[in-house]
Amino acid sequence: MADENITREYAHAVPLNAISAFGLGPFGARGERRERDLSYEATSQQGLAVAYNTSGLVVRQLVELIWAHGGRMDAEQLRAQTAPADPALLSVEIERAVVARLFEDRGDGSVELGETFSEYLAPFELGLTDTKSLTSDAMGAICRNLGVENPIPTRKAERVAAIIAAFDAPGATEGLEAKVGPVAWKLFHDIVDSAGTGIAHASSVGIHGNIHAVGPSPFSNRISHEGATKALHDLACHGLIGVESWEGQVWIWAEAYRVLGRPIYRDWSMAPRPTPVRIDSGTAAVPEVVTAMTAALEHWDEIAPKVLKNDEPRLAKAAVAALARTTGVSTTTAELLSGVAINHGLLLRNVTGASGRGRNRRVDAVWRPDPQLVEVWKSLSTAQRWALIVSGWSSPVDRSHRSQLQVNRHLVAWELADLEPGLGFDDTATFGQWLGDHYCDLGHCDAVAEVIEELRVLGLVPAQGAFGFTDVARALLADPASAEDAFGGSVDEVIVQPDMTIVVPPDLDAELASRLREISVVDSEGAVTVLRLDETRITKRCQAGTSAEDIVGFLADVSSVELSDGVIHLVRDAADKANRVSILEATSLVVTADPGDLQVAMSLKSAKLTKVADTVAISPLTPARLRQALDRRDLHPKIVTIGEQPAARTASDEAEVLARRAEELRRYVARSPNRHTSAIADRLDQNAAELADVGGRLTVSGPLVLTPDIVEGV
Amino acid sequence: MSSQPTGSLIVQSDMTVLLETASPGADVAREALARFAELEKAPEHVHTYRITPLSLWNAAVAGVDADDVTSLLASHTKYPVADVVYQEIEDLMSRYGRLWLIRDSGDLVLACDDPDLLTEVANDKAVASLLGRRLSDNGFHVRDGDRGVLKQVLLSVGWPVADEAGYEEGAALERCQFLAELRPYQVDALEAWWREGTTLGGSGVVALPCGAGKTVVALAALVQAGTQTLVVCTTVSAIRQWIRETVEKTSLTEDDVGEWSGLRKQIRPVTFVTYHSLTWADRDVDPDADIEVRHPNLAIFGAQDWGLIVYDEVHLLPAPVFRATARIQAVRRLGLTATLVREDHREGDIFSLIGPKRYDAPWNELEGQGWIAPATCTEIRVPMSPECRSEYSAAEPKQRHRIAATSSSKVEVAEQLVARHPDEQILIIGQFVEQLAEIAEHLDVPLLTGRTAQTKRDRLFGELRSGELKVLVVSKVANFSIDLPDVSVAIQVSGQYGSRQEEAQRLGRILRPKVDGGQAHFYTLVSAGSDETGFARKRQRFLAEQGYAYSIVEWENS
Repeated sequence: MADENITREYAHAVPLNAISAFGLGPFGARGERRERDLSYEATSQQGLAVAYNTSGLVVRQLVELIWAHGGRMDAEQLRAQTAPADPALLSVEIERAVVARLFEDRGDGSVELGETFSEYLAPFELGLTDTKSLTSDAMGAICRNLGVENPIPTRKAERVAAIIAAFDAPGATEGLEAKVGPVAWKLFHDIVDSAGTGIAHASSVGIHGNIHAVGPSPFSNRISHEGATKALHDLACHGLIGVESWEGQVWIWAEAYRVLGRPIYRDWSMAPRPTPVRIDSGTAAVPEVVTAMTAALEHWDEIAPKVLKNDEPRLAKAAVAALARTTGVSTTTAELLSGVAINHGLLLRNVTGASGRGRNRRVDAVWRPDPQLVEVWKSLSTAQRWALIVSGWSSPVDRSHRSQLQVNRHLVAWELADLEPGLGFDDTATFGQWLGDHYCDLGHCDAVAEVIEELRVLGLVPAQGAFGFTDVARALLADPASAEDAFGGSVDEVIVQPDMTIVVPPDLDAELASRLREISVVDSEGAVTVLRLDETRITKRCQAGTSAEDIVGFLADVSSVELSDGVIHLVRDAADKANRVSILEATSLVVTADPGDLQVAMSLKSAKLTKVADTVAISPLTPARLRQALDRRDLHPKIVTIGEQPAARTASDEAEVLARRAEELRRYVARSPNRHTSAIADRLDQNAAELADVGGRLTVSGPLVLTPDIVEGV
Repeated sequence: MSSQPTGSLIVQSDMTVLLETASPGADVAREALARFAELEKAPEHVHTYRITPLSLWNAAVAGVDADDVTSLLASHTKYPVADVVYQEIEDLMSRYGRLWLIRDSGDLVLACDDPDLLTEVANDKAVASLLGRRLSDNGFHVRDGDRGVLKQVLLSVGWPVADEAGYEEGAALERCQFLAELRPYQVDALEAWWREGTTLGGSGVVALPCGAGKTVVALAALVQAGTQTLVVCTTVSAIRQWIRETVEKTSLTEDDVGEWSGLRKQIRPVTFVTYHSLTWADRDVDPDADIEVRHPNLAIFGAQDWGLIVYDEVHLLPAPVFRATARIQAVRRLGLTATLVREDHREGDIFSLIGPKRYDAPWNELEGQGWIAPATCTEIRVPMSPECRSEYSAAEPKQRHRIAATSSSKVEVAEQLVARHPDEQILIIGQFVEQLAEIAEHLDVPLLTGRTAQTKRDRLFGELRSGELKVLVVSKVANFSIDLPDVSVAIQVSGQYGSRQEEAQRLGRILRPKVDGGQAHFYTLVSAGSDETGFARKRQRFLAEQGYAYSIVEWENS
């Protein structure tokens, strides 16, 4: 199977493997792109597990049935077991399972589990043949109860064969039904309906209170049973069901399916795929999440959120809520921003303290923006920032941590990318229901709704209405570089109204749009965007160094109508708030007990002191240099260090640490050569080089999600 | 639908519609929009309308259907309209008219031509408690007294009911003629409300700016209905004003009109009562007692044979009146307001109980046509004295607003502003009585507050109207319903935090067109560098949205 390319057909059957093959997550970091080679993804243990776990309701049932039939079903068995299924649906799903390498269609109507699949992923064994929970004595009792004629075989395998023969005997079904009675027979069917070929929990078939009464040995005849307990006991004593009392579990022995007298699975339905509808692509506007990242980085610079105790690479809910409050974005946006910032290293772990020893050792750490990467972020264009955020969204935060959310993101993205351009779906619930049935791993509709909400925040699908990738989103996802002109609007004018709203045309120049968003919030979005000047955001801008007159000037330049007094004063008032309290930057603070001493110190010009109170002055000199100066006037100050916050760590610091460790390993290898250690040192060096390349780390290239084009090599 | 660069509407997916006033087709588009969307704001360049369930149901009441709305949007839009907007319109409009309230052999019946829908609606617990026995697949019996509440509940579950059960005509009003002349927009407002006397009209709200003649519309409605009428007003001063207007603009005499207030208890063919008197509660009565036992005046007025009830300043309608109104749905109802914005978000109750908004006119449009006086609005930022500033800085946040609002520096500014308008009548309005007393004493002018006796109030307002008095200092009692036609300057020295409605109502005091066509001046004094500036910005938002641009000036002593 070597060198077989991923095909669109395979991508449809098992998109997650195709996604992995292209190095697009969720099972590995972007950039670890493998060959477009199907052999590994489709036939490895992990690949087959993914194929099985995402194969959908119908294929799962088929696989389980085949396994229950000993790994192969002939045409007749298949027809009998799948009688309730829609033939068209069944045919499509069988084809899907064959493409996914789960089983093979022999052409004569029979199906057989794939050899590799059987080898790697044998389902839980529920047959009498392989069970260790039944003693030979118990088997003997079952044989007697089934009317196996004496002499009862002595070997366990022979006893199983005798039981199978009893089950296969003509009229066995009716005979057993009569023997165990109607209550037990109904329970038998209930268990099948609940668990199929798997295990049912007692509570799901209403026997939670009875299963423990059956006792550790279901074949004990010393206790008289009644009702459901008797039914359980009788079914177990006739080799129809297995019981695990302690766990409250019950199942049908694989050998007993033949007396069921009906298909094991009666429900073969799947939610239908919703019909695609046309989406309102509109014109590309800069998503809020892009402009909010700068504000978020400023927020984290002021208030560093704590690293979670379990060290998970995400922010606590309170920190996310604080970010949402400060920046005026939704919680979804704030969550995305923090995830992306951590993912790209814009936020770095900074250790602030440690306590305890051994297993009680506790390390306190906070997330702080990496000043180097923040500078690079600020130098990026709007489209590059957008691409970076989307790539952060589609890459796993931690390569060792496969999150369900990440799986959901990629599956939803693939399904939307696979539609014709301009199409989408209009109902999250039905789409979610279909995805849930089609890829069992995906789970609930709520999870899909969460992903759709993220896509709206990211600006990849329209903000409202039917959801499908917009043209610009498709370009970005296939090739981030091609989206450089996504927001390349030709218009450079907006209307700044006296009621503080700004009417932004859809084709406004991206940089202008981005600057406007930094000082306003969205009032309404659609064909045009209506922004509202926001006092808090303007204050933030001013704190970051922009003056009120800069903002007023910018608004006056960009507005096609004259600015009203109200607008101008809003900006000035907001700026005043930012400047009402000043923080003087000083390296040293001089405090004297006696004002006279300060007078003496002030007279020393080389000390460069500025008086701020009778006994307090500040100086730009370092404490050591200031002491030298004051010593000359016989003041002899002592230096007191006030809990100073160390500078935030940077990617370069991280790289240095890795490089040092690599060097240490190399020294060790020089003393005692070891190929493995040498390889680790090489990898550490490589990681250090990648970390140090701050520009490269924030450059996004290559597709961000799986699309039909890349599958087909376009 | 492709883009039309010349279109004047921009339809957003969130159901807001922007109207570019400078575009060539703006006037036609505005006229079309007014039928099914609510004007949210009308600043100078781009007006914002919102299509809401209520506005669509209002349109449906007026006979507009979903196709009309979508084709109007499509023909005026600048950019393609999202399908979701059309779907939402279709869905919402299809809900109106599916359920009716009708009379069948004298019984009130909730009817529907779809038995399944009727069953679905009747399964709602709140609705079920208001329905009587099922008369057929298509109808439930309803008690007359539950008519209003049922409409409220059905609206809240998304099924607005078309009330076609008709009105009781009430006792006839003899020899009543309308003697004044209606302005064109007043004619439109009256027609929109009356709907040729059919059950399609006869209840609802007319929204017009202060000074645009809402009273006149109500009097014309009274004459049109020709029936005994109850008018509910905000204050006794407002009652007197209504009575004066009624006698002046209709053929009714003072003997035909009655005042029910703390001072007089008259019930006549046209009776005026304050909300306060109407809802006066007997404190000796158990609070859980029936509403008419707890509020005995409601019983007295409920027993009269009114054919029309007019609610002045309907946005202030208190809760007991809502409950009482729910019981008197068989009477024609007219609500009047300048700002149909309720701080308690009970606009839906007004829709159900008073009726849909029948008419609304943008302020700046009426100003442009000369029906209300053009006004300049100026915010003056007054520096606080050093002492005041220190006190403000050290005060608890809750105290700060009062300290800034009552800054003594404002007294001098008010004095200088008064001096700038020597030939005009001036109102100085504020929130804090001590501050107002200080200003009145400093300027040696009368002060009118809530504690001022009614006779003195009438005298002071009378002197102001006659021109005898030039300057009057008033508290918030003058926020509403006081007609002072010749006052052309208002100086607001303090206000209730960020209340947009108060700002609009206070401006409204000076908007009556002046005889000489002169300009009105509205000054608002704000302590510079205090939280008053933020509150002022919030207060001004409604007026800014109506097209009033404030100039902001820093006060300098010179």
